[in-house]
Amino acid sequence: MRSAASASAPGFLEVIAPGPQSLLQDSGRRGQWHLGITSAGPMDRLSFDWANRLAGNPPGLTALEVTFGGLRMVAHHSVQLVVTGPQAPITVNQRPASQWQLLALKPGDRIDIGYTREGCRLYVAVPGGFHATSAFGSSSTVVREGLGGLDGRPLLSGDRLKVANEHRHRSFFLPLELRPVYAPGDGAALRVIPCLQARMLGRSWRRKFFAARYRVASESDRMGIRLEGEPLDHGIARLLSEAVTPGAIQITPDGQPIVMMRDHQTIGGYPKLGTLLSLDCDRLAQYPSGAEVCFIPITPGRALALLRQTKRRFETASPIALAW
Amino acid sequence: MPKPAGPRDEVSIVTAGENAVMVYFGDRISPDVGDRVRQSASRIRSTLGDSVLELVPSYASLLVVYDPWRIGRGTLRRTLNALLADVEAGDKGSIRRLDLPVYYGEETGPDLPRVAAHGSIDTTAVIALHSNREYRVYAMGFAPGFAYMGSVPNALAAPRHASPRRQIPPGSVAIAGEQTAIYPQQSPGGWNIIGRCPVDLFHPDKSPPTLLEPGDRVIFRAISRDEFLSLGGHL
Repeated sequence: MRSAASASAPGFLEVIAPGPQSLLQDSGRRGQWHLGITSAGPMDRLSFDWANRLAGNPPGLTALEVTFGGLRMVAHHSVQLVVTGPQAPITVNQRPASQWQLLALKPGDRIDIGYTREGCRLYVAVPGGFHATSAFGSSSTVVREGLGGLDGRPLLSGDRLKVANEHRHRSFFLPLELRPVYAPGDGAALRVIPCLQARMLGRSWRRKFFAARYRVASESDRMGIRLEGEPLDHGIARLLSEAVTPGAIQITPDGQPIVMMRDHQTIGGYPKLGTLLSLDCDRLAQYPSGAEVCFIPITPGRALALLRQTKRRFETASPIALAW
Repeated sequence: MPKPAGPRDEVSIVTAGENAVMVYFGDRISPDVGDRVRQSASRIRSTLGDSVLELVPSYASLLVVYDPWRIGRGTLRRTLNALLADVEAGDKGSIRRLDLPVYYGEETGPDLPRVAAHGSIDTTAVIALHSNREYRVYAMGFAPGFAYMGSVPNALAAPRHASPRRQIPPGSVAIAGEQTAIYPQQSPGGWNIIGRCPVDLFHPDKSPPTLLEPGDRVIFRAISRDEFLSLGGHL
């Protein structure tokens, strides 16, 4: 909450239509896995980070994750907001508006976020962030756990989303060449650190896995992205249940991989053949069902170098400041 | 790939991701292993502090997620090797013992007959064998407040259902192989349901939020339907 001394009370955006699933998310919960509480947070962290950056916020403030689009809202006071993520038609009072640019809405203005053409998840940030219930140090919504956001549930029509009473003196815009690429292309290669039970699977199994092509299955969600391909029989008898991280690639009894995502269960008993690079979890989060992917192995040292490079690129990329 | 750490050759530290390692303490469920996992966790927490982001004990493993901008992989592995070299099995911490009431019966435990058939015993014997026995909490996970406990007697160690039930009521007491647990919230699940416990196992506003933690000893006490209802249980 802003101080009572400020000229106007925090205003709100009213949800007219929530779309298939819109959730309040901050950067996620930390240090709670040992209680059985999952990570949560944005599925595509890079697009989320950009939304906060373009809203002039410090990293990790509460924003909206809008899956597939379809969100319509009316402003009940002057509010600025930015929409990042893959391309989707955006209108303000039925006039086309830009993504990747801080927009100004007047009281009564209506914003329509249409459906994504390619890619799955859009992020909406406002200066100062959205207000949300905090649980275990985070406002991130986990529907399964009933924690965070709006009493642990997705947005519904009629919800009034309180936003901080903060305004930026300039708008910021990120040019196309600095934005993430969302199209999976013709068989996107996802980078995997082979580890955990990989050594029990044997060399020929591993060769098969890295040569295979998979399609993103429609039953995927924030818990895990299911993949479909030639089933691979691993022959590993039951494993003692052990902790599971985001990015872990579990092989189900029917021989198909599931990549664990932000709402992963914290302990599981399926064998894992490796862990996806976090940067590629962000990419995978944007691939629609039917998209084709394959995997390539990398070393932990290479993974760290890639993380460092991406962090530096984000920090040094500068959005263009525009006058209102 | 697994490297011996210290005098016990079954301890190994393996990569689990770009900023995570898994420490394995063998591959069986036993109180000794459970003690070593717990002691290792507390030692790692006190030595590495903020460099560790997540620390998740399970039956015979301990996941360590670290902050790669604070500690390098090599340093972490060396530190863990040194820390874990002389962890004793003896449990030096205080042990909490909890009695948990359970209303066993087909009304709350639809899989009682299935578990009975597995052990070629009747359902009364299942209840007698499952209660009045000390279980140990080995891990918390799967869902908030869900405690993995062991070990149930062989006669009760029925395997999980091939396809999970879509909705298991909160408080359901369940068996999967030699493990037993209580579902804190309504959730899908494949374990055998044999009864229901009226006690709240997870409450986000309480401190601590979970009733149980690794190392706790639990004894299930059979109660009647009336007692279950008077303790606030829901049917």
